[in-house]
Amino acid sequence: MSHPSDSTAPPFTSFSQQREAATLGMWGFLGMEVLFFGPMFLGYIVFRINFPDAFMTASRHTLILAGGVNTALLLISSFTMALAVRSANLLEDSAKVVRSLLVTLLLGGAFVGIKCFEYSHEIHEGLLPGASFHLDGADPQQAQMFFYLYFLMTGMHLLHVIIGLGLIAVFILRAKLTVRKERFSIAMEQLGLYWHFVDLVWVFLFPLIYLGGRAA
Amino acid sequence: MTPVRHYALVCGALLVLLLLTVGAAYVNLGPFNVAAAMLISLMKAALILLFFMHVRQAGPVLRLFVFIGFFWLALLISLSLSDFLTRGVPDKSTADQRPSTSGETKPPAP
Repeated sequence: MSHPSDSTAPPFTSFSQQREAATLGMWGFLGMEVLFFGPMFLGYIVFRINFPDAFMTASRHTLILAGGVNTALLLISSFTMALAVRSANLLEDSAKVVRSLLVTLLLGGAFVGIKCFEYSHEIHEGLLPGASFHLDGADPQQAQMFFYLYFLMTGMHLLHVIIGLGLIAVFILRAKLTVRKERFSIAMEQLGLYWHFVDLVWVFLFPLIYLGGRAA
Repeated sequence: MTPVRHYALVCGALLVLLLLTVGAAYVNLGPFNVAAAMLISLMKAALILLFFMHVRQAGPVLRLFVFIGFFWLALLISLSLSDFLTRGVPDKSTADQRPSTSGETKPPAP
């Protein structure tokens, strides 16, 4: 049942109008996000074309099991986020939304944990670009370029995941407290778009970072 | 409203594609390894965009916004590569001459 205070925000005259405007604004933001990550992907493409051997050798030094598990975690977390958005849109009991969001939070938290384990492993192995960088069998300058892009791209992605986890935590509280379910469901739709976008970036990062040079 | 079963099917398909892309990476296809990986990534992206991000149900204005977002990215990459792919290696000769930390590559004789 809709709560009396659950009305549209001005200047909107209907929820569907408000939903359309909010979603359009979110996609405007996501378009900017595409262009935030885009140049890093372009840099990766250009340097991989120029330094193919070093990139393949360096790629083999990433932890494919950790990367693969992390990909699965993010894909499943997108599924649970889609369920949370669905429950909110159906104006279901807030406990259902909270449950799906909590699972998403746990899966995203596990992603961050595994990524931090990878970073510590790579820093320990001397793969952090800088004076102490060493990697056998590849031109060190070129291999450092791979690991510079690796830390930059996965780091920026990880930042987005952490921001997403913060937002999910806020939305768990909102879901528990709000009586304006229709308005809340519009906001949930945007949270879902953000989380799926972060998943989308990883879908392209994973093969570029982890899968190069495995067959050789 | 999309039934839960549809979301579960999409999630299952995404996980199958993940296994497929990891498996394909260990088969030597030469230059087609990266092509196969990117093709699978595009399929995963399409599933996420259409079903999880509800582009399938979106109206024409929203679809235009989604399209334009990725269109700029396509311009960025294709126009930049029209330079990098035709002008040859920009940095290789200087990279080879830079002093190496491990001493594996030696600077050329003067």
